[in-house]
Amino acid sequence: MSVVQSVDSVALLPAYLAAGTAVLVLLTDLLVARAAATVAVAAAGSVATALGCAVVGAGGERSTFCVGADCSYVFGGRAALVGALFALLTLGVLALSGPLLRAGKSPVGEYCFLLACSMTGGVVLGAAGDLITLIVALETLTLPLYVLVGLRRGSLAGAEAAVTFFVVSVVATTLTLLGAALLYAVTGGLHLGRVGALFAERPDLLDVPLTTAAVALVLLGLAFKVAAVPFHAWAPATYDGAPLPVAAYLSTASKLGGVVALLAVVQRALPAEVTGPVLAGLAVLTMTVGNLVALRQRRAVRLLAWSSVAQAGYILAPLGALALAAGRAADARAAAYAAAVAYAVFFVVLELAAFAALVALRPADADGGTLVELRGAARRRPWVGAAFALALIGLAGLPPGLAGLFAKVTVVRALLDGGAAWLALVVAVNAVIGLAYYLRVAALLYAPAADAAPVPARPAGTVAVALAAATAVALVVGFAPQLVLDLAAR
Amino acid sequence: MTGLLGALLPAVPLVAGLVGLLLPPSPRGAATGEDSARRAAIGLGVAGAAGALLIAVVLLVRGGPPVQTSTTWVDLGGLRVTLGVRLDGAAALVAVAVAAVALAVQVYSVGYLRRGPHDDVEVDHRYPPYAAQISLFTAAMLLVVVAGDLIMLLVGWEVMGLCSYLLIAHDRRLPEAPAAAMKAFLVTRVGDVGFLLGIALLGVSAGSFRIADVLAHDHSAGTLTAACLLLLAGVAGKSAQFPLHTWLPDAMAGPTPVSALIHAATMVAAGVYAVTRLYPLFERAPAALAVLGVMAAVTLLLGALAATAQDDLKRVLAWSTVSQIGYMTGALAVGSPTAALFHLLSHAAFKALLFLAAGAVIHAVGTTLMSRMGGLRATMPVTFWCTVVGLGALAGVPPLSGFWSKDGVLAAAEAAALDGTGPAPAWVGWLVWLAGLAGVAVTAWYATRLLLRTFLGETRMPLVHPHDPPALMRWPVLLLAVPAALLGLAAFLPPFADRLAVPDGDLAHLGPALLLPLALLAVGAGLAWAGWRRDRTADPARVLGPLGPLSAAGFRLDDVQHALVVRPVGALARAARAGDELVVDGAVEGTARGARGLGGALAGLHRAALPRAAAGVLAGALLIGLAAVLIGGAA
Repeated sequence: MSVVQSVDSVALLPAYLAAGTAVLVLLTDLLVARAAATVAVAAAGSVATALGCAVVGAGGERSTFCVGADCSYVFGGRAALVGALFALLTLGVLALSGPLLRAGKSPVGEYCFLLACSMTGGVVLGAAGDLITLIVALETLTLPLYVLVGLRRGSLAGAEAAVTFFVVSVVATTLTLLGAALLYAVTGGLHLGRVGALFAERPDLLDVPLTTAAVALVLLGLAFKVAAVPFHAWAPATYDGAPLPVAAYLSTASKLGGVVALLAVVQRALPAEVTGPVLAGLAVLTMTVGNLVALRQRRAVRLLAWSSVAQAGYILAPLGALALAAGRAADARAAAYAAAVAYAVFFVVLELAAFAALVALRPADADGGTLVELRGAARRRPWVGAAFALALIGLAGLPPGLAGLFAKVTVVRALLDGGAAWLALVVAVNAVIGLAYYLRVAALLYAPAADAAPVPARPAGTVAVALAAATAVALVVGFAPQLVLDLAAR
Repeated sequence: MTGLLGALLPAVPLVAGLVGLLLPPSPRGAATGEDSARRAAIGLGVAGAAGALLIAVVLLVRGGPPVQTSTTWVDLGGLRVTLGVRLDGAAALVAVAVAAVALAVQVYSVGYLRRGPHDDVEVDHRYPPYAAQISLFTAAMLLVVVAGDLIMLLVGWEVMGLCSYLLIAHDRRLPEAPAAAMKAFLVTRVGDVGFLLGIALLGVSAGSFRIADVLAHDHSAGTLTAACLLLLAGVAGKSAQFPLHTWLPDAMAGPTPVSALIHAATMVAAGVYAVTRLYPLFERAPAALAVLGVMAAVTLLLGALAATAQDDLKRVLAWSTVSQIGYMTGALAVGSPTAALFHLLSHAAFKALLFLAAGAVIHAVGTTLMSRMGGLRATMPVTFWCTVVGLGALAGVPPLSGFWSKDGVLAAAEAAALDGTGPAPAWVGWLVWLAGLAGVAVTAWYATRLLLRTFLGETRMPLVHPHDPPALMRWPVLLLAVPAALLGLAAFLPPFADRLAVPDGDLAHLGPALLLPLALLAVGAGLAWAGWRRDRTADPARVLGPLGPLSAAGFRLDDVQHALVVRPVGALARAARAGDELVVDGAVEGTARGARGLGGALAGLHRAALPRAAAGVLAGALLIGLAAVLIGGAA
C-alpha cells in the first residue's frame, strides 16, 4: 500500500467551492468591509457550489481518499443532489436574511461566513464514505449554527436558544461517537461500505448485544439532527429564539443533513434488522408527538417547529418498513430509501416557502410572532398570503399543494410495498391530525383582520424573490413530481 | 362524416352554453334595453341553436343507413365505456325537432325576457346565464338523442335534470320558483336512481355500455325485466308519468319559453325517446311493457282530467303535456315505437306553439289566470289563430298534425287490443285504447274551454290594452304553427315515413276507424261549447261540480305524495341528523378534544426547554438502546 494517496480534486471540487466561499466571504468582509459585497460573494459562492455539484455529479461517480476498495469520499448522484440542495438552501436563506442584516443587529460578515461554513459541511456530508467523515461533516454543518442562533445582539431568547441547542447537540454527538466507537470495536471497520459488507458476511455478529447497542446509539445520535422524538425538545425553543432566516435554515438544511446522514448509515452500513424497528418506533413517536403538540401552539415559529418535528416522522416512516422481512426485500428497500429522499426534498421546498412567507409578512428583525398577529394577513398581502397558504396546504398534503400530496402518497406507497400497512395507517391518521393545525393557520390568514391591524410593509426584494422561487419550485414539482422521484431513486 | 356531424350536434350548443356562462350574469347600471353582455348572450344562444338546427337538417336530408361510431373512452376491466354516436332517421328527426324548438325559444326569449317600457322596477332577468343554460339544456338533449353509449346518454340525461332545475328557478321574484325547481329536481332524481341502476344492470350484463352491444346481447329474462322496470322509473320521472308526474305542473313557475322547451322538445321527450332507443329490449320484457301500459293509461286520463279544471293557462297546458306523453308511452306499451315518435314530433310542434302563444298572452295581460282573460280574439288576432291551430292539433282536429299522430297511437292500440299484435298481453292494448279514446273526448273538452275562456266572450280586464306580441316573439309562434298544422300530412310522404323506420305500410291511416275518435272529439268540444253558450261569463268547468276542485288540485296526489313520501323522509332525515350530530359528531369532536388535550399535556412537558431536553435525550438513548439490545438480542 502506498503511503502517498492520489487525490481526485475534481471529486472534491464542490467541497473546495463551498470552503472557498467561506474564506472569500471572510476576506471580503475584512478587505472590502461592505455588507452588500459580502452578501454578494456568499450568494455567488453558493451558486457556484450548486453548479459545481451539478457538473461533477453529471459526470458519474468519483471517489477519493481510498484505502483499497473503501473510500472515504464518494461523489455520486445522491451526493450531487444533496450538495446542490444545500447550496440552494443556503442561497435561499441568504435571500431571506436581507431585512435582518439590513436592520444591523447581526454582523454581516460573520453571519455569511458561518452560513458558508455550514454549507461546506452539508456538501461534504452527501459524499461521506466513512463514519468519521460523516460525523465531522455533520458537525461542520451544525457548529456554525450554535453561533448563528445566538448571533443577534442583545437578544436573551437568542442566547438561551443557542445554549439549549448547543448542550443537546453535544450530548447527541457524544452518543453518535460512542456508537461509532462501539461499532468499530465490533466490526473493525469505519467505512460504510465495509461495515455493511461485514454484517452481510457474518450474520453472527448480530448476536453480540454490543452490536445492537452500537447501531442503536449511532442512529439515536443522528435522530437528534432531524429532531425526532425524544431528541426533539431543543427544536421548538431553538427555532423560536433564533432569527427567522436561521430558523428556516435549521428546519430545512440542518434537517436535510440529518436525513442524509441517517440514510447513509442505514442504507450502506447498518443491518436493517436492527435499524428497522428503531426507526419505525422513532417515526411513530415523532409523527404523533409532533402533530399533537403542534395543535396547541400559539406562536407561528413554534407551530412550524413542531410541524417540522412531525414531518421528520414522515421522512423516517418509509425506513421503518425495514422492520419487517417484506420490507427488507431489495425492491422494497430501494423504494423506501427513494421515498425518504423524495419526501425530504418535497418537505424542504415547502418548508422554505413557508418560512419565506413568514419572513415576508413580519417586520424586519422581528421574530415569528403569534398566530393572532397573522390574522387576515392574506387580505392585506394577497400574493404572500396565497404563497403561505399554498405552502401550509402542501405541508398538510392536500390539493392544490400537490407537492405535499405526492410526497405523502410516495411514503404511503413505499410502506404498502414493504408490507408495513400499520405504519401507513399511522401516517394517515397523523396526516389527518396535521390538517387541523395547518388548515387553521391557512384559514386564519384569510379571516377578517382584527380592527386596525397594521398593514405589513412590502417585503424586501430578496425575500420576495426567494418566496417566489420556492413557491414556483413547489408548484413545478407539484405538477411534475416525477422529476424529484427520479432524482431520489438514483 | 355522418358520425362527425353527429358528434358536432350536441357540441355546438354545448360550446355556446359554456362560453355564455362566462359572461357577466346581470347587467350592471344598464338602463333599459341591451347592454353588451346581453347582446353577446343572445348572439351565442341563437347561434348555438341555429348551428345545431343546421347540422340536424343536414343529417336528416343525408339520410342513409343507420350509422354507429365509437371510440373506447375508459376500459374498466371487463366493462367498456365508449364515446360514440348512433344515428338513424328517427334520431335525426328528433334532433331537428329539438333544435328547431330551441331556436324558436332562444329567439322568443329575447323579446319575452326584456324590461318593457312600462316596467318601472328593474327586472332581474340575468339574461346571459339564462341563455347559456338553455344552450346547455339543448346540448344535453341532443346528446341523449345521438348518444351511442348508455353512459353518454346518462350524462345528457343528468345534465338536463340540472339545467331544468336552474331554469325553473330562474325567476327570482316568484316565491314558488325555488320550491318548484327543487321539487322537479328531487322527483326526477328519484326516477333517475332507477334509470342509473337499470343502465348499470344492462351494462354489466352485456359487458359493454355501447347501445349496439347492449341490444345485441342475449340477456336473461329476469335481468331484462328488472332492467326495463328500473329504466321505466327514470322514464316516469323525466317524462312526468304517474306517479312521478307531480313536478311538471309546478314547474310552470319557470319562464314560459322554458316551459315550452321542457314540454315540447327536451326533458319530457327524453324519457319516451330513451325507450324507443332501447325498444328491442322492452319487446322482450312484456311485464315491463304491461307496467308501462298501466302507467300510460293512468297518466293519460289523470292528466286530461286534471287539465279540465285548471284556471291557470300554463297549468292547463302542463297537464295536457302529462296526458299527451301518456299517449306516447301508451303507444310504446302496445308495441308501436313509430307511433310514439310520430306523436312526439307532432307534440313538439304544437306544444311549443301553444306555450309560446300562451307566453304572448301572458305578456300582454300580465296574468296567467284564465278567469281574468277573455275576449282577446279581437285585440290579438295572430295569437288567437296560432292558438286555434295549436289547440286543434292537441285535440286532434283533422287535418292538423295531432289528428294523424294520435290516430296512429289509437290504431296501434286497437290492433293490439283486437288482434293481440302487441308484444304485451292483449288487455294492455284494451286499456290503452279505451283510455286513449276517453282521453280524446276530455282533451277536446278542455281545449275548447281554454280557447273560449281566453279569447272569446267579454274581456274581463277592461283596463289592459292587449296587443299582438312584437316581431321577435311573433315570428317563432307563426313559424311553429306551420309544422303544428302540416306535420301530420308528412306521414304520407315516403321519405318522412322511411326516416321513422315504419315497419310495414303506413304511418297514418285513412279509414272508418277514424270516425270514432272524430265523434268523441265532437262530443267533447260540443259539450264545452254548450256549457259556454249557456253562460258566457261562467267557467264551463262548473259542470264538474264537486269534482272540479279535486281535479284542479291534480287529484290531491301532491298531498298523497306529501303524506307518504315527504313526511316520512323528513322524519328520517331529522333522525339521521340527530344521529349524525350526537353520535358521529360526538365521536369526532370527542376525538378532537382528546387530541387537543393530549397535545396540551405533551406541550406542558416541553415548557422548561434545556434541562428536560437534555434529560430526554439521555433517557431516550438509554431506553431505546436497552430495548434494542434486549429485544434485538432475544431475536
